[in-house]
Amino acid sequence: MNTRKLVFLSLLVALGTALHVLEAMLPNPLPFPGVKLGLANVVTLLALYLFGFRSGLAVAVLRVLTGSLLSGTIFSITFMMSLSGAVLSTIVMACLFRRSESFSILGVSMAGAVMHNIGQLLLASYLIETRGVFYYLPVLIIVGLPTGFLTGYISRLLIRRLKEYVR
Amino acid sequence: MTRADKLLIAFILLIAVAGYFLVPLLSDEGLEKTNIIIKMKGQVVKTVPIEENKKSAFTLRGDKGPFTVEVDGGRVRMVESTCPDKICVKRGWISNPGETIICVPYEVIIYFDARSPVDAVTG
Repeated sequence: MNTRKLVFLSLLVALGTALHVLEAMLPNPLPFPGVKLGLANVVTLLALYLFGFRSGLAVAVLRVLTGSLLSGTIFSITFMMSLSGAVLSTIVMACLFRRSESFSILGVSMAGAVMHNIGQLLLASYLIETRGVFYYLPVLIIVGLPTGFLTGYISRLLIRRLKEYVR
Repeated sequence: MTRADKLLIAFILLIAVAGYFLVPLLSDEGLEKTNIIIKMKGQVVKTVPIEENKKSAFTLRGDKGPFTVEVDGGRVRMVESTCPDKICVKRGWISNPGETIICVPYEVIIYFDARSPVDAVTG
């Protein structure tokens, strides 16, 4: 890995961490508890589109690690859920991205947001040994679509401008 | 936004709507509830036998603070909790076997212990 890529990815992780922590401080105006804007996923998308699957996955995992470290939730159940959500989401996004002639980054991001929630609930249902967590899934999915759209839109704007600085 | 994107969104929405109707099917309707069980981190911490018109409430210690559970006959709810999102509190009352109240940060599940009204089915 060349130095430029290393620095770029590190900056993305740092940015993602800052976004993760910041978002946790934002109050939630909606009647749905536990939903997030997922702004930190912008950096995952950037890493994925600019550098590929492995970089995207690395940035996603590192961002969850450092973000939860700074938020005080590291190695808690919340952290496990975030991690599984981020990994599942990145894998699915990478798969969609590879066929990117059909899907735009908006679709990829929305799918990623939904898969992130599903990943979180899957792990929660396993760790707490109940399937009841899934009663909240339809709500999370429907809220996930617009948040995914937002992160996708922001990512698209950024990728256009950042493309020339990569390599 | 491409055509494939829109198909994807439609597909996802379909799953969400289907899930809304399918998830309750995972529950055990039609069984008789015998007890209300509270589990924390996989261990049963409280069992409340169901008696009509009997109310009770108790406070338990979660990871980062206490939470209070109230029982009224055959239904139960989380009255208040010190967890961050309080999804468990917003759940409200549950009264059917298969319904659950879950507090993820504290790893708490409240559910009904239910048995089938018949002992066996032949044929």
